[in-house]
Formats: sequence, structure tokens, C-alpha cells
Amino acid sequence: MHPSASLVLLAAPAGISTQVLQVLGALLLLTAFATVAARHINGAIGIYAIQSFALAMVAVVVGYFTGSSDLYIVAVLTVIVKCGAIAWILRNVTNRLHLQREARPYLTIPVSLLICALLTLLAFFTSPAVVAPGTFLNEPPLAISIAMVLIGLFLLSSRRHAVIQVIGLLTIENGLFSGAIAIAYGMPLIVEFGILFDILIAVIVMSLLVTLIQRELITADTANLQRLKG
Amino acid sequence: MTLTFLLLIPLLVSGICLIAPGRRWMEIVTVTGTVLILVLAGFAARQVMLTGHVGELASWLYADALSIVTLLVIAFVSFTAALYSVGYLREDMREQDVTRGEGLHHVKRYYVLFNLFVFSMLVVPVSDSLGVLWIAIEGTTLASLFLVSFNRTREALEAAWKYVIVGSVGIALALFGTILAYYSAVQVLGASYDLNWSVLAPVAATLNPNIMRLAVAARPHHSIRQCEPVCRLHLSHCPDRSDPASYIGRREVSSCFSNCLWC
Repeated sequence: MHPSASLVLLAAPAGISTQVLQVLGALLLLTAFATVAARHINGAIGIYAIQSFALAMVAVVVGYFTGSSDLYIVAVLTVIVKCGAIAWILRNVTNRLHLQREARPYLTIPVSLLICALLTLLAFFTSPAVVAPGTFLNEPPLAISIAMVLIGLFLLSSRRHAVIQVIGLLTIENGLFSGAIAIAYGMPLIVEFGILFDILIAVIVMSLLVTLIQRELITADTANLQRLKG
Repeated sequence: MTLTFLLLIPLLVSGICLIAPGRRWMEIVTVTGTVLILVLAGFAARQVMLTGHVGELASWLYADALSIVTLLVIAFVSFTAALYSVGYLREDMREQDVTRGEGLHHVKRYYVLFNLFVFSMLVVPVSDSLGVLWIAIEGTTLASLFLVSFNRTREALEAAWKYVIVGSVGIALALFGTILAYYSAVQVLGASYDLNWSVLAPVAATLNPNIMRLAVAARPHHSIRQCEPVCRLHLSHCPDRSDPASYIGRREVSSCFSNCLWC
């Protein structure tokens, strides 16, 4: 498709598509908060699956109004890999860890949610500065993607359970993916394939590692990984 | 075809190690493979000196002077590491039976992953696509993860977990940088162009300087594996002195090079 045509489309998207995108963006942000609030690991995994589904829907909507068929393929793959395979693998690992299925945060959940709200504010506050004036970028999608990255980082640093840390990492990645789709209509198809494949391998490898850690330490609590310090 | 063979060798060696009957075999093919890689890297260096750059496989692979420097370093380090592994692993597993069962499996895992690790490292400097480059960097983390946790002791597992988390977060930020670089290029070149260095470099001066600056900043400087792409981005970004975008590039090239030397 002609480049200038796509830019015009993004500058003045059809009303209904914008609204759907806004709803999906809100859903993405909401699910990121929900993973922080989740008390049980299986709950967090389920929320991650919903988040990935919302991401796939974003790809479908953007694909619909830019007329790019690549994004439909990306959406289908996202559902298969993230909602299907990754959620299944993580659930399997969690079920194998007989003990400790609760999230065990370093901070209490209300405090965590408050911090995440501040992070979201920060994202909405800074993202207009990222975009140079005169570009056709819609600000809210980028702000939401940055907020998801920040919430993912927070999850990663404030939780002790290894599986929740993996979910934090996946939240960061979902945020980046949604950003890529919203601001650049997704990456070239072959790159998207590679990234999804990489993530799948990463989750498999980390699950193996969590299983090994649990066998050795009888826990998947990363607070016990304290011996190596600089 | 130098670059193509260069990448095929470690893959092939990794495959041979997977089906090899004994430790001796794995040692011989791994060391031979890294010697061949070093020789081929030398050939590629000669080609680049003669022609300026090498492009292969329908422009999936691309090497210029900067990639050759990195390539030679990687090839040399892989070679010495392969030599060292032979003695190290023999000493490490002196009390185990490595001819069959668990012992053989252990040695096999080491050599298969070692060669996959070499492969993913070699892809990084010679890939033309920023996307493939990102995938290869992530690949190095995943391939080396079980080399870090090789001994399966408590400390090794702890180190592996910290390594994968820190590495993955760094790489996620690099993905952000890649996406922003793509976004700034989409504004100039239009949607769904190939995310390639050879496409980016000619239009470097017209890319949005603010976004490119952020894209570069998002790539963590303090990791040896990520220095090279950052350098290339800087270099491709400053072809013209009068342009503000290239000014930013030039100022950061020096800091980038000092970073690389520090690495």
C-alpha cells in the first residue's frame, strides 16, 4: 500500500475503529493492573492470556483499517502462541510446584497498585515528549505501551515468585508489541515470526530453569537466590 | 558465499555433536569448526577490504568493515574457547563416566549449546535486518543459559536465573529501540519496508532525530553483546555534518566507542 495513504489513515482513522482501539487499549492497561493485583499465580496466568487476546484484537483492528493482511496473521499467531502455548506451559509449571501458589509480593497489593497508577501517570505524562511535533502518532497507544512496560518492570522487581517474574517479562513484551502495532503497524512479518518464536523458546527455557531451581531449592521463591552478590 | 558458510558451520557442527557417539568426536568437530570459522572470517575480511562490503543470501546477510572487526573477535574468541573447553571439560568430569548415559548426555549438552551459542553470536554482526539482529541477540541469551547453569548447583542455578532475567529485560528495551527505529523509518519510507541497515543508512539524515536518539538510548550500552548494533546505528546516522540529526549521531559516536573499548 502507498505510504502516504497509510499515514493519512492513521491521522484521521474512522470513528468506530478509534473507539474500538481505545476500548482495547483500556483493556490492555486494566489487565496489566490485574496481574499486579492477582493473589494466585494461576489467576495471573489467566489474566495474561486475556491481555494477549486483547493484543491480538488490536492487531485485527489496525489491520482492518490499514488494509494490511500481515496483521491478521500476527493476530492468529499471537492467539496460538501466547493465549495457547505460553499460558499452557506456565500453568503446567505452576501446577508442578506443589507449594506456594500465591504471588508473595515484597509490597502489599494496595501499595503496588498505587505505585502502578503513578507509573501509568508517568507514562501518559512523558509519552508526548517522545513524539516529535508534526508526526502523525496517536499518543494514547504509545502511552499505554510505555505504561505496560513500566508495570512489567515493577512486577519483575517487586515479586519473589519466579513464575510471576516471567509474567512481568511477558507483560513488558506485550506492551512493546502493542506499541509496535499502534505506532508502526507492526514490524515486518518475518521479524514478528522470529520474535514470537523467540518468546516461546524463552518461556520454555525459563520453565525448565524454574523446575530445576525448585528441585534444587525446594521452592520457586527467588528470595532464596541470595548467595551471589557483588 | 563466505558469510553463508560461516553461519552454516556452527549449525552443522552442533548437529554432528547431537548424534556423535563419543566425547572425542565432539571435541574434534568443535575445534575444527571454530578453526574453519576463523579462516572464513579472514576471507570475509579480505573481501570487505577489496570491495567495501559483502552482501549475501538475497541481502539477508551484510558485512562491512565494522561487522568484520566484530566477526574476527567473535571467531577468535570462539576458537580459543573451544580449545579451552576440551581440557576444562575433561578435568571437570574426570570422576564421571562420559562414554554413556548421564555423563555422555552432559558432555553432549555442553558441545551442542556451545556451537549454537557461537552461531547466534555470529549472526549478530552479519545480519542486515534489525529484526533478525534482535532475534539473534535474544538467541545468545537462550543458548548460553544452560551453559551458565551447567553444573546444576545452587549457585549455578541462581546465576542462570539472574542472567536470564537481566538479559531479557535488557533485550526487551532493545526491542523498544528497534521498534522506534522502525517507526522513524516508516515515516520516511512508508509502511512495511524491510527493516535493514542497508535501507536505513542512505536515509539516515532524514530520519526523525528525536525518535532515533531515543531508539539508540533504549539499547543498553553496558552489555558487550549490544555494543556493536549501537555502534552501527550511530555510524549509519552521521553521514552529513550540517544536519542536526547527524550532529547528535557524531556526539554519541565517541561515547559509544569508549563504551565499546570499555567492554
